[in-house]
Amino acid sequence: MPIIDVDNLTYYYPGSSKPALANISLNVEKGDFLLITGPSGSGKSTLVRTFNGLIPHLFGGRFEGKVLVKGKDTRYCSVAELSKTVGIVFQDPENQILTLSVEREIAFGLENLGLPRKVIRERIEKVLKDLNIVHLRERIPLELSVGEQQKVIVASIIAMMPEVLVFDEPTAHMDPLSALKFLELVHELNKRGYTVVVVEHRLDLVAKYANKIIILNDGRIVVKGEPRNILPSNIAEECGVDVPRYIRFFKRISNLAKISRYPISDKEAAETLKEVLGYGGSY
Amino acid sequence: MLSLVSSVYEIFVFRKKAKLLYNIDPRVKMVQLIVTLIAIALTTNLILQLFIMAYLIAFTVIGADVRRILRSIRTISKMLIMFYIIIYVVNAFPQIVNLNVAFQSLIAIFRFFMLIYSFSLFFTTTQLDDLAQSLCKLKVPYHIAFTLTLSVRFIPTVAKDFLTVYDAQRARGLEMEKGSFLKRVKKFLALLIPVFIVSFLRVDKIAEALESRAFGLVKNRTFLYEVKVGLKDIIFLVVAITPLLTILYLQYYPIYF
Amino acid sequence: MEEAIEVRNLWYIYPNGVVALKGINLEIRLGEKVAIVGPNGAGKSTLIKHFNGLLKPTKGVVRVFGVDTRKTTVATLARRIGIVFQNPYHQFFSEKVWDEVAFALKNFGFPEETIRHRVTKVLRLFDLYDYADRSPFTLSSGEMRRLAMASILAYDPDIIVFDEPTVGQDRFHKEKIREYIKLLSSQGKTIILVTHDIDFVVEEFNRLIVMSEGRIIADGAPREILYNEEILTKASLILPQIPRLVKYSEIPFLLKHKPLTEDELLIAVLGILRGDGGRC
Repeated sequence: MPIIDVDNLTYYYPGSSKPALANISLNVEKGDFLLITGPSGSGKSTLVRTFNGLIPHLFGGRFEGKVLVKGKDTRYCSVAELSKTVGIVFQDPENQILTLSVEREIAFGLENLGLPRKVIRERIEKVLKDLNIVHLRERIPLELSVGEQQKVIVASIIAMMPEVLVFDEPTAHMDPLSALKFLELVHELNKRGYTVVVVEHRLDLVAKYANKIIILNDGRIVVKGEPRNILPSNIAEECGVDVPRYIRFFKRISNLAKISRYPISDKEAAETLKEVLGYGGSY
Repeated sequence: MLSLVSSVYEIFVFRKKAKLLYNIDPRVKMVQLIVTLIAIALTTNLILQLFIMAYLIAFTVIGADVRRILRSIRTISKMLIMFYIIIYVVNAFPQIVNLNVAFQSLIAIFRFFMLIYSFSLFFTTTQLDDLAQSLCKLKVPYHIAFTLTLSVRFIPTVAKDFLTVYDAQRARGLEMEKGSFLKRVKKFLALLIPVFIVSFLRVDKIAEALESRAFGLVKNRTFLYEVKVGLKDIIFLVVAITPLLTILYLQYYPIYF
Repeated sequence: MEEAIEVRNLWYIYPNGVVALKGINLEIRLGEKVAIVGPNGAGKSTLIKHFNGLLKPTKGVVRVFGVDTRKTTVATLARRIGIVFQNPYHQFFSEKVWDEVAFALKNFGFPEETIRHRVTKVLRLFDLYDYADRSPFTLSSGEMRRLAMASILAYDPDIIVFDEPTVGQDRFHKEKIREYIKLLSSQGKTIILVTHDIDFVVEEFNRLIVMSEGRIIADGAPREILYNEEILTKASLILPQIPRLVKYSEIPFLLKHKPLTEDELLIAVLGILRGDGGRC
């Protein structure tokens, strides 16, 4: 059974005559790293908010079709209930920081879950260590850098031990190096067993970690599959997805040199380039 | 503008320290604060007011971060001097030199200073979450107490928004110093409206974050750090209130030394 | 060429004690196109706020068109330097798009007729004329950004500064922003772009200023800077995509030619494939 099962979902925001999502069907299996991308306004953020019930419960509107999280229909489960299974990290840390100390920030969700104090304390320790932020324990979250803030948010979410982690453009406010490190962390979490869904524009930094990619446009799924097959496709280009430049480059020389397999990481791209130029090497 | 906002922030923000006041129950400190405010408001005798100041200093030295408070005093003092001049000039008018007014204005400013000092002492030594929790123990519903904490938590954010808006509008030629009173009010809208809108937009996002962290799931949520009134707090309360009550007593039943 | 902006030994310390700028020296001439890059916290935004006097130096001097910024008002400087800030919501307050664009013009005391003329012109330029009577808040995010730009360009400043214009934008909108910048530059405007999006900058800008921790650690041609390991590490920057590819490939010919864009890489690669210069 897929951990998230979206079945012919169509959704209208309140008062809207045009659907924000139309006939969306997709499966997320346990352990997946799903990358969702597409131009602005294509419905990416809307889609992931259906995974933990924010849509329909917080936003209202017209919700057709269904979304099953671990078999449970999200229409009949509260967001708070679903937050035990699906955790979301949003774009702007400033709006997610709810307390005045890192330790209490991490404790917040656990306190809301009504867990015993001993358990809360254990989880805080573990998560501080896992994410290497023990030194930030007493700090005021608002005074940290954006990268550190997002890390604290991630800590607060994984302390609740959900099975699925959703990231909605988490690196939007970060500089490239922080973004790189953050996405590496997401990859790490995926390796440790979390099912991960990431909405991103910066495909060059994250495509290599994903085993599935979905491109949305105008509320519909335009194409889904493996990044390696999807990114070089003409559809990806037409949708205005920020296809990694090395893929665009290899497409342009594909009539001059045979590209047997499109790369999806810098290292693979370098190997492909060497091959094309007769320097040998393979991957 | 920026330094003003920055200094006000430093005067009230909580930073953990291992000193006495940081470990006293928030409710007890709240009572102390209220009685102090009453004492400040009701005493008119200068000597008694100096006693109150001595009281505040004593508690600062025993129980708070002295260095921080000193820094806060330094930043406030410039503002206070300005206020003093304003109050003096307004009250002495049309005279230029009036010793009585000078003295009275001094007392007024002194009072104002002690007011801010007392609040500062309270807020810099109290975790807001603990304050919310103690309110809950007084049977205030959690989501109301939490609203308090959340609002205070967002004050720096809104302040930052305000400063950004202020910069953006000045960069488009907005001059707040110029123009008639009416015009200035209109100009202020150019500052106020964006701040409101940005804040409203935040509300949605904050709601999302709260929901996603299981807010409201369980009726009796856990509190990691429990606030309890213990023997220590009771003793503190007695020790803290007694001098203030004595000062108030002396205000109304003066003993002539 | 006249010096538009001159910065000499600029130090800036925020009220909370943070030293944001440590001895900045910089000259920007009229008509130049400069990109200021660096990680968050490097001091980029702090620096540009000195250009129109929003911030005044703690030490050192900033001169704009020869005028010391401490000796004049923000409004006077803003007349010649426009800053387009990152978040349009931090400036919109009017009921109509038209009023939003006219705001700066009114502040600067332009006559009614000129205002009407300029607002119309700039709204048409940014494809917003049909929205003139609508509320700014009914626009899409891309349209809002255009409106923010329009509201600055309406009063025709000589220098235009863009503060992180591409944050959170998709490819299509980044392209549009790039086009507008090209257009403005072709009209002789001095352009200063502050960003941490190095890929965006590589195509259009021939002068790169790299900042890190309050200092300028490099100032020159992108090609030299972006292939320089030392500078990049010091600035916590990552390479733009094409140089990254070239670096990983370690192909000497390419490393020598230092291509920055797909087109340049293509030319270099074709050169190799055809056997003119480099192995095949």
